[in-house]
Amino acid sequence: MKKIFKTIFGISTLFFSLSFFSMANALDIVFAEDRPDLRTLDPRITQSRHEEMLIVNIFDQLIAADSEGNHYPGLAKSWEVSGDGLEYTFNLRNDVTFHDGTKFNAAAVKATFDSIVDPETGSQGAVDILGPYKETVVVDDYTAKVVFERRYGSALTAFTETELSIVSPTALSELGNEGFGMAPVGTGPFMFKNWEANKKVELVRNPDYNWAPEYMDGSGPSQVANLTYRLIKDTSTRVAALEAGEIDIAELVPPLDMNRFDGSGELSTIAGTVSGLPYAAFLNTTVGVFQDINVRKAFFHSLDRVKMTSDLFFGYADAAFGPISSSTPSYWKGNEDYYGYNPDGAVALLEEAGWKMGSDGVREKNGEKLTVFFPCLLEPDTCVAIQGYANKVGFDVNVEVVMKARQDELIFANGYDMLVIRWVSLDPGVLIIPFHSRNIPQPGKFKFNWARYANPELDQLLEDAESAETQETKDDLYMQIQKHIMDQAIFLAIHDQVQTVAYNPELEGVRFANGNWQLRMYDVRKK
Amino acid sequence: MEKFKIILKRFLLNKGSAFGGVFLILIVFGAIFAPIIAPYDWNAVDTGPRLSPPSWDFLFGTDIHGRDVFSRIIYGARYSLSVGVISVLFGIISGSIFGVTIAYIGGRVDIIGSRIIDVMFGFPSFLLSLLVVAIIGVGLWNVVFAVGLASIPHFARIIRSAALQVKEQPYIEACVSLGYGNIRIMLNHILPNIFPIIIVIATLDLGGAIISIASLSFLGLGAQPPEPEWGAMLSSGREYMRYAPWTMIYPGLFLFLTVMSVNLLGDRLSIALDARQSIGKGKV
Repeated sequence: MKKIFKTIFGISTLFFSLSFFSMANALDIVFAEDRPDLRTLDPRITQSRHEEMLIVNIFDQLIAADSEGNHYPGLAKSWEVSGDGLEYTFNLRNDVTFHDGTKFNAAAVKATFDSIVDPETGSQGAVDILGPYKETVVVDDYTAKVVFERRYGSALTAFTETELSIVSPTALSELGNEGFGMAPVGTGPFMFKNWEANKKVELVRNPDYNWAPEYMDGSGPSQVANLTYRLIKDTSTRVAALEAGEIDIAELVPPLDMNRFDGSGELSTIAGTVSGLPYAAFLNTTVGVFQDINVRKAFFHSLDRVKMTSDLFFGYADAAFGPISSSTPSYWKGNEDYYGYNPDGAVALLEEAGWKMGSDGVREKNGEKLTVFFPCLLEPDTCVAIQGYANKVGFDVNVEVVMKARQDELIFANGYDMLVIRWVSLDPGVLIIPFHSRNIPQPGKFKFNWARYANPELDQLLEDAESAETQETKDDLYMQIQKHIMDQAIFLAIHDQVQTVAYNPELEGVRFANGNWQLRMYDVRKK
Repeated sequence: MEKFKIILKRFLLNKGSAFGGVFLILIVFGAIFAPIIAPYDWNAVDTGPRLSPPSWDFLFGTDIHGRDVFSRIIYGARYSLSVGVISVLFGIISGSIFGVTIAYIGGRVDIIGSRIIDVMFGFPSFLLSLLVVAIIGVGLWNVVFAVGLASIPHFARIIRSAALQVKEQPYIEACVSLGYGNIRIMLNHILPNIFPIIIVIATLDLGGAIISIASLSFLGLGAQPPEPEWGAMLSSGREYMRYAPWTMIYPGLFLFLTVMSVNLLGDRLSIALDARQSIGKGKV
């Protein structure tokens, strides 16, 4: 009798250990993302890096790119560009299926791109990244030809961007634009499972995934079986949960904590300097005190951006000076000669513009106060630092820490003097999004020219730069564009964006997507 | 005058209320004379090295922007105390008008008024203030209004029942038969008689109001940077809690001590003003 028990015990122990063994191969990863107010997971519509944090893992792009921006075959095995630079012919993989079973083919590429340029879709980012798109021609099932109106120098980089991910046409027609954003269907290594508003989004691995780009370590389905995105806005909660082992990977870890983890080895860390627009403030040129260029310049001069950045980031980020960050292609060094820290110069400019110091430390002119309304969505501490510096030369900066919904409301109503932005992008072409006059927001039309600056000359430069033929002309045009923006003092760069990630030291394979913000979870595994 | 002396005596004989009283006097004094007491400008960045621990130069340390926490707390008392008092005043005045009016008129007005109070009671008052802020927008004064508004049903209900009792008194009947106007009766004869109750519930509510406003500021709905309101200071210190706990400990401590003092005082006040307590006994 005892023997039988022993045998049963032995067998069940064996079973248990076996099941544990297989679980080691099926990781459950919890990632803490800092923004709870996700609205859509549709790559064609979003412009939010936080939404894209999930999107990079659900979708694939025609051309794959690693964190350095090197191009690899993605959903397209190869591609060629016509001599006039107008046609891009993609030779597509024929072994790819969407999560809903739809076959990936040229028709899917056409459906995706055509829907992006359809105004009905309400695309916020993709439509600009697609540039002067004309049409997609389905040459045969697995050959798609994308045609542009004009030469589009940034096209190849554009096809690597998350926004131009290929979406399932079947799901799109079944769910509609809104429904698709709530239950996205792509070809990526993870499939959408469940979304609890303001709490978490759950993904599961795609068991059929067999088309990982070659720069990845792994092949076949990911080792991560379940990928949960917990939406934890509060930084210290995020860090505490990470240290308690409740979550495995956290983004936007404060620099002081990064320092500590680096020193102790308690957690692994990676930090990425992001290319694209730096953390910067638009000064609204259409209302309030910033209509006067001298007031704008004075505001620029009042800030010690180098000190401010080192004070707030403890060495994890550098000050920024130009409309694009220094790691972005076509960056112009001349940006750094503009608007250095010069409070006396700021005072002189304000005096010249007629703003006299009032008794309360705030300047006034004709009974009007030098007041700036500054709704602050990102990095309240940086907003407060800006406020502190500007205050010293006589600005009264009203910071209101806002949520996204409130900011959107103010943008539509043109009810702000300055707003902060940051943007992940691989190409200076991103400048068309916040500076072309067609992108001035209007009620019901969410756009990003928050300085509301309209200048035909700048518009022309931006369009020309987009279709520049050679790298030289492209660099030259973007130089002129940056100079124009700096001369007008409409965009106040503060610091390079930095994405700080800490994770469980037992894991490896955590890697940044192109642009150094989002994380590709495909390769994550146990050491 | 004799009565006042007795009330004062009852106060001072109690350790709790004596402590509360002394602390509040200090805080109010600090708030009023903040420009003299505070060693630095509360809003000046880089007053000292950022996140430096408490020292003789910076009694309560400095925050991430190098601002002196002690100076900010002293100035913060102005915000935290005055917003609490104003919101309670707003609530109690509106509540008194509402409560006394419906009690005095009686009949259908009283029934409908009471039902309105009941309905408003259905919402937890904190949620009610969140709702009001969501409608009228963020900002310290909006929060003051919201918290005051949310406290109205509570005040109105107590004051209504007190006014109902007074209304049945013979001297009110006398006033009516003398042909006094309704408003005169309510203002000159009912209100003064329920005044002790009003004082007590207002004081008891003050602590709650200060906490509610600080909570809303903590959530980012009330005071906006750089206002040194204590709840907002707590919130902005959160990220540096591990490295600079003083940016959270001191605002929290002052909030706690202030609210506790107000409550101790309020408790004692309700005993001291209670007419049923026989006057003249030394120990109460």
